[in-house]
Amino acid sequence: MPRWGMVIDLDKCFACQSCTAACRMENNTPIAGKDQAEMGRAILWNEVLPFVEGEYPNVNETMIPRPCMHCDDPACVKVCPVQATYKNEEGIVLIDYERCIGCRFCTVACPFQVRYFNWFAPEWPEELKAHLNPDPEVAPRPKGVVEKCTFCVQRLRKAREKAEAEGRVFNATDYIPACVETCTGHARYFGDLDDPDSLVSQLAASPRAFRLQEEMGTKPKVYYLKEG
Amino acid sequence: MTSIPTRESELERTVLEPLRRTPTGFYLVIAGLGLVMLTGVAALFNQWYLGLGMTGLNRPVYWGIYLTNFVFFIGISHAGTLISAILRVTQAEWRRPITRIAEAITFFALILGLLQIWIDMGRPERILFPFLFGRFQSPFLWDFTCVGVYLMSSMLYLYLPMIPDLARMRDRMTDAPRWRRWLYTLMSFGWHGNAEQRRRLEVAIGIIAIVIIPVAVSVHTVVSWIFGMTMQPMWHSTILGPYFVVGAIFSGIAMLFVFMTLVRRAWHFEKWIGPKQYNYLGLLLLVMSAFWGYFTLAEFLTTGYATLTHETEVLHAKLTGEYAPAFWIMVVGNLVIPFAILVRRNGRTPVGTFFASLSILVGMWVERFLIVAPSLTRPSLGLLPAVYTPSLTEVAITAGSLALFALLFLLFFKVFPAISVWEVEEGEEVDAIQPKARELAHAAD
Amino acid sequence: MATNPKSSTNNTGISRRDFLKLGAVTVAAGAGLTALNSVEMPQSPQAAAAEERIVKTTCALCPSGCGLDVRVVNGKAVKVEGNPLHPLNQGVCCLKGQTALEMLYSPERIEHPRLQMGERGSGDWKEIPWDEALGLLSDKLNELRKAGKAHTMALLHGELRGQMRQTVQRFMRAYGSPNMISRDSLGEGAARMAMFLSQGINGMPVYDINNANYVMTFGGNLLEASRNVIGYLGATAFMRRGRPQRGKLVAVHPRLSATGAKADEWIPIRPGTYGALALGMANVIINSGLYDADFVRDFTFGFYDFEDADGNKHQGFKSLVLESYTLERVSNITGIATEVIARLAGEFATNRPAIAVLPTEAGELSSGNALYTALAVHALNALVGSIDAKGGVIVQRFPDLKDWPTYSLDSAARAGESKERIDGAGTQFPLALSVYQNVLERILAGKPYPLEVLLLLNANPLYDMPNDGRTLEALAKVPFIVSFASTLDESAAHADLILPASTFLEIWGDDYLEGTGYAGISLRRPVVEPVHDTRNPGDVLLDLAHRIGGPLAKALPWKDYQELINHRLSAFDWEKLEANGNWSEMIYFNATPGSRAWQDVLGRDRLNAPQDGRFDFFSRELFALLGSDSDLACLPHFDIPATLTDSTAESLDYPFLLVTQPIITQSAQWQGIIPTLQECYGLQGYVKWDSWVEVGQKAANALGLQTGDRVRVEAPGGYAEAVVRVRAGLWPNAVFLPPGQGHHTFVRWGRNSDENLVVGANPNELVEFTSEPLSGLAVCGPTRVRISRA
Ligand SMILES: Nc1nc2c(c(=O)[nH]1)N[C@H]1C(S)=C(S)[C@@H](COP(=O)(O)OP(=O)(O)OC[C@H]3O[C@@H](n4cnc5c(=O)[nH]c(N)nc54)[C@H](O)[C@@H]3O)O[C@H]1N2
Ligand SMILES: Nc1nc2c(c(=O)[nH]1)N[C@H]1C(S)=C(S)[C@@H](COP(=O)(O)OP(=O)(O)OC[C@H]3O[C@@H](n4cnc5c(=O)[nH]c(N)nc54)[C@H](O)[C@@H]3O)O[C@H]1N2
Ligand code: SF4
Ligand code: SF4
Ligand code: SF4
Ligand code: SF4
Ligand code: SF4
Ligand SMILES: [Mo]
Repeated sequence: MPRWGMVIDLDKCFACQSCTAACRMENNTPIAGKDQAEMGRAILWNEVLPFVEGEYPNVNETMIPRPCMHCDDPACVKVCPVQATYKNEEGIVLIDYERCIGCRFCTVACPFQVRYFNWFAPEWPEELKAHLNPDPEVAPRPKGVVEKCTFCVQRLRKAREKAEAEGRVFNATDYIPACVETCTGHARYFGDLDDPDSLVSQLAASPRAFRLQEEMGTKPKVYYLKEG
Repeated sequence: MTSIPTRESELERTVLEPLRRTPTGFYLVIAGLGLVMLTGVAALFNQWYLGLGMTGLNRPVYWGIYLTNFVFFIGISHAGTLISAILRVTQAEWRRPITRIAEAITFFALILGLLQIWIDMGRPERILFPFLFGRFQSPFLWDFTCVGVYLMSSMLYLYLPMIPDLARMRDRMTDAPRWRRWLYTLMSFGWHGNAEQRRRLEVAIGIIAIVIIPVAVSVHTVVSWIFGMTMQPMWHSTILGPYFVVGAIFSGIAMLFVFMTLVRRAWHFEKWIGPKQYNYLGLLLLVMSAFWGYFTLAEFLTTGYATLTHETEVLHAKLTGEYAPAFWIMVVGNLVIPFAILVRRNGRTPVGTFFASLSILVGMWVERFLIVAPSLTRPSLGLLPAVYTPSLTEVAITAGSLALFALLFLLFFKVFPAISVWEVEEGEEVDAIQPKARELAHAAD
Repeated sequence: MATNPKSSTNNTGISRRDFLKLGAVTVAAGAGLTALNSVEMPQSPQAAAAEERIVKTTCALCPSGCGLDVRVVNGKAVKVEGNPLHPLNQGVCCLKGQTALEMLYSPERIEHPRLQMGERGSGDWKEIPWDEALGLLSDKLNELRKAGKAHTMALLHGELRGQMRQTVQRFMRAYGSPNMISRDSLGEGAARMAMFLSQGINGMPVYDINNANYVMTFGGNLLEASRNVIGYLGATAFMRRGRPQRGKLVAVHPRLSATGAKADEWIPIRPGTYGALALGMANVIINSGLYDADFVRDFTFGFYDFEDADGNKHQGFKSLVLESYTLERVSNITGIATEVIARLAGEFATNRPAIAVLPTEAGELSSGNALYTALAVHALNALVGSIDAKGGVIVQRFPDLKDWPTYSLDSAARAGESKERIDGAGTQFPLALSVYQNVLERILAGKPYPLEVLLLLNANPLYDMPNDGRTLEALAKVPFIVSFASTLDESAAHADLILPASTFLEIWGDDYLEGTGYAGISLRRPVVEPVHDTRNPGDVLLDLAHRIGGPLAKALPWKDYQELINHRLSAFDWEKLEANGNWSEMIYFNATPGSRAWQDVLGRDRLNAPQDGRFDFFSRELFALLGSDSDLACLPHFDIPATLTDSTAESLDYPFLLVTQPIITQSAQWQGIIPTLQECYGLQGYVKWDSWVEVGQKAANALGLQTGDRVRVEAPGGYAEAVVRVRAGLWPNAVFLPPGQGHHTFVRWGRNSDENLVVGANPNELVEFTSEPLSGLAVCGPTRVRISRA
């Protein structure tokens, strides 16, 4: 059973936000608009977060793209009162939108603020609905439930189906999330962390590797490689 | 104890008076409260229809004043437990005239508390899911369980001691409307006050009084764990459990004061609810205020002394930032005003305690708010502090909830006696007996 | 789940209706809950997926021109990816490519040709059929042409890709107008001219970052908004981690942009003084003998003082730099410490191959010294021998395509050709190819002749340079204005006729592979049927050519633009081109200095200077133009911008210098209307759907400003309002306002939004555009501004 994980090399990431946009276009997250965005209700599963340190002229700005960490010991799963949030056997943390009661316990429990709530029913101007991704896994979520990065599970299913249709064995490298595919700096890596030969597991073991807020103990499966 | 006397005593007359007559003022109050409540209901339906976006909540401030109300109401619910259970167990005699009011507060506050959770749900129609698919690891589940048990036991605890009075009403209120007579008959369960019945009742009440105390403590501890089990700054703290319990008892007594003073005034219970209650309970309130202050100090000092960046940020938000006004309202409301009024004997009067209690209720609501909101505005991976401004919808629903709380209380005591007649009578008997008993004891020495 | 056809656009009445429902629901109470929640979300119309394919095309949202793979399901485009078979972007694409579908299906698009019925700008439009619109325009053009006034038609255009440039050129020439005016002077003109005047190449510099060891940007926002942003992103990543030895990236800019933040080092500099820094570095490099002496001796001209054929003595680069650009002086001008300049120079000269990136978007901060700044920066490249070296500045090659048909000009066309250009390029500004900002001044002056018809093809002068209302005045003087805009931009709103262009996802076309160096071509093809009744401007021009006839029909003989593309690209194996989406040589051959190939990268396009394979420190091209006594004007040098030294009373009233620099979420063409770009807009300013003003910490303290305050940024010519972000990464007396915002939306985007919202503010409102002598490059800064609470 693979244990999916991601590595983001901050030395090759240029904070271009292509991943942010790709994630939206792949996963049908709704447009918030000015009013709602200013209230902090924009839904972008993979935001790039800037952190500024220092005083002029010795300023350091670190920009960190932040998908869901798909923690091995996820804080969100523990607190969900209805088991709507769960970790599947391949280590991907998912949400059952039919089950979620919208209590938002998980959103306050997740130390990475990766979970987004549907304050209203999602809306698009009629014309724009044409480009929504038709994959059933990413059907727009109803109001009142929580959503977040899924590691693009629909792509995992499609990769498996494709391998099967082509009569070959599914290979971990067949499965590429949207943000990884589009990454302009080729800074994102994705694969099976349990496979010692996979690129991700080797990069995750590099001395440059670290994880966000490791002290929280949630054991994220998204690793970062330090700049410089 | 004897069986029900044939002639109505003064106590009975006074207590049953509001059940018999309804002055216009009462209708006005009900209408006013009803209006406020209906506005809240309308806002709630609008919110259900359009979505929780009607609130001022956002990312990362996912919880706001609904959760504040929840904690507040659950806190209030400790009134009953403390007064009737703890005082009953410790046999504090002065408790007798106010137990019923306290127990009713408990029961209705719990209902309102649970209601807040429902109001706060993104998918309210899935309210039963926690029972169908519950995950026991979730503090919410612990909460549902504890509050559920507490609700059940406090309902019993409200009901059981009422049985003798219900029987009395069945017998006395023969001129009441049919449905009420039917209700009294049904609920009094064939009570005739014979020795066996009495014995059983005493045993049952005794057991519940003891059981309910740990349940109550657990409830509020668990409520605190909803916050404490997360890793948010200033939530993830072991003091939170006891801090919540102290705050709960504190605000519970304050709420009791408010209701009991109003009831006493409106329904002329001065003879039974008097200086003794005000003095003792006032002292208790003062002690709780001190306890609360001590916990607050401990909490803020440990946070402030250490230099965990995110904790400090939240602390600053509360002490000097955008939440500073609220913080000082809380301090004044919970410490300064109560102390100023209650330390003096002549402050522990109905008027004094009433105002001290109002101040505490405001202070404690704000305290709950300051626990819920500021932590969320300073998320650990945050950039700018988030802003949370409650919307009109939230204000309307909160006002509606308070109105509903008052309404339930009023209507309940329109049908059921606000003072436990038999217990007070029993108390008078005890009073009468006790000196004799003491004499006997002395004689025996 | 119930599908609800309601969209946000018809939601205006929602609260009233909801409240009515509310009454009903209250009655039904509890049971109504589930019903309440059945106001479900919209479903993707393609939910029942059937027919699915990938269509390869080429992005046109910035000059990079990435190959794209578009996923099309049931005739609707649903996802964009980079084409892995494209050598430039190699399977990735930027967020503008990602969100291109929001542009394709934008509700803000103009759906039919329209004619202005009322006063200009009144919004009183009538939709008309294409045939009528084209008939109207061709009649007008014919009339003019017959009257011998073909030259009074002008066309302002933006980025023209692939064959489109020559198509427009042929159209204009055969029609008889010299007035094809690009935005060159606002942006890439400086770099292009510097390449020409020093290296004798008429083209944009290309940077071989993959193989460089040291890359230094002089203002250019290399990783956010450069002409080849996608290629440079990939190459920078490769320079760092893709090869054994890590290269260094240094970003020089008054502001810590994303490029600065991601660079290995950020060097804050006083706005408008890059040229001085480059010359100061040259001083150190020459002084310490770190330059490539062999290259300088054998393949450059004008390094040393020299004597010309007539025996006149001339100053060379070396003595000028040693005399005038001492470390102390440069440090004073730029505000960079002497030891830092010296260190940078040393690093640059000793970590070869090194690249000094020329400013391209000189337009915005152009300080009247853009041309010489670009020359100074490029001189650094020559000093370290980076000219066409591996890991240096290389020259874009282009593929050979099937020839254009020949045609001869008739008298009307010949008459037009001999007329002076309306923008003064070639006359008032002898070096310029186009002087965009001057057109409007000339229209106002009625010189050299009044304009009768103005075509706007992907150009929006009212937005680019409002010039305190003068641009609007100028437009008012032109009797007939036609816009090809796809959405109602500021200038289109003031047009008489709009011929709405299809988006790049609906048309045939091509793009040269630029930014890789090697030759290549990328095919653009319709991904979906046109969403609206719009046309490819290429088709429109061909149609007009037919209607007008004469030399136009000969110059552009094709039925439609697809045929034109088929013809031009028939030089390639079409099947392969379609299958890969592109064709390229895949490998760049650096020319060895002095070899035969060297001529192609040095001196090829020189007109008046010898094609001797020498890089001109002293521009002989300029010398030929200016004649004797012009030594300084032929050498890279630095003039302090007037606004920096100005200490008049007025300037003291405006203590700050405005810096603007495009950011990656800015889509030049479509900023107003791509909601996801708005939602990603201000990463560093944490701002969405708005503009922000960056103010340094000290300035903020002095003004008592805090992050979150709303302020008015005011220049003598205009003002803009935005929210403050106090920022450590900013030159102390600079303020930063990102460009690209300040457009109208015409649709409600999301809840409670306004249908007539202006998103953010346009910094160009603050700027006064004039022109540099000789080059005609725009001068627009650094503008002095002041800040006050709004
Ligand atoms: N995302 C995105 N990408 C884009 C675009 C976009 O809008 N969005 N636009 C595209 C277009 S049209 C162009 S032209 C390119 C431009 O892209 P580049 O050529 O890389 O130019 P920029 O980095 O935008 O800006 C160049 C910088 O030069 C500096 N500068 C200004 N005036 C002077 C001067 O007088 N002397 C010197 N030395 N420096 C000066 C300024 O700081 C300015 O920020 O980017 C293209 N790429
Ligand atoms: N402050 C500031 N101002 C700048 C710059 C800067 O760096 N800072 N950069 C300058 C530079 S280099 C440039 S290139 C310009 C770019 O900025 P603009 O001149 O605004 O050019 P665009 O936005 O590319 O296109 C102009 C109009 O063409 C229309 N259009 C868009 N797409 C298409 C299409 O596919 N077909 C047709 N026919 N029309 C279309 C749109 O309606 C758009 O409004 O801005 C210049 N202005
Ligand atoms: S990052 Fe947050 S949402 Fe994702 S698995 Fe971890 S705790 Fe859960
Ligand atoms: S909001 Fe949904 S997913 Fe999150 S804890 Fe509540 S029920 Fe679970
Ligand atoms: S893995 Fe998929 S869902 Fe997660 S951030 Fe990337 S694109 Fe979004
Ligand atoms: S796409 Fe890649 S380079 Fe761009 S922000 Fe995301 S991770 Fe960084
Ligand atoms: S870099 Fe330019 S060409 Fe490439 S996808 Fe982005 S906008 Fe399109
Ligand atoms: Mo440009």
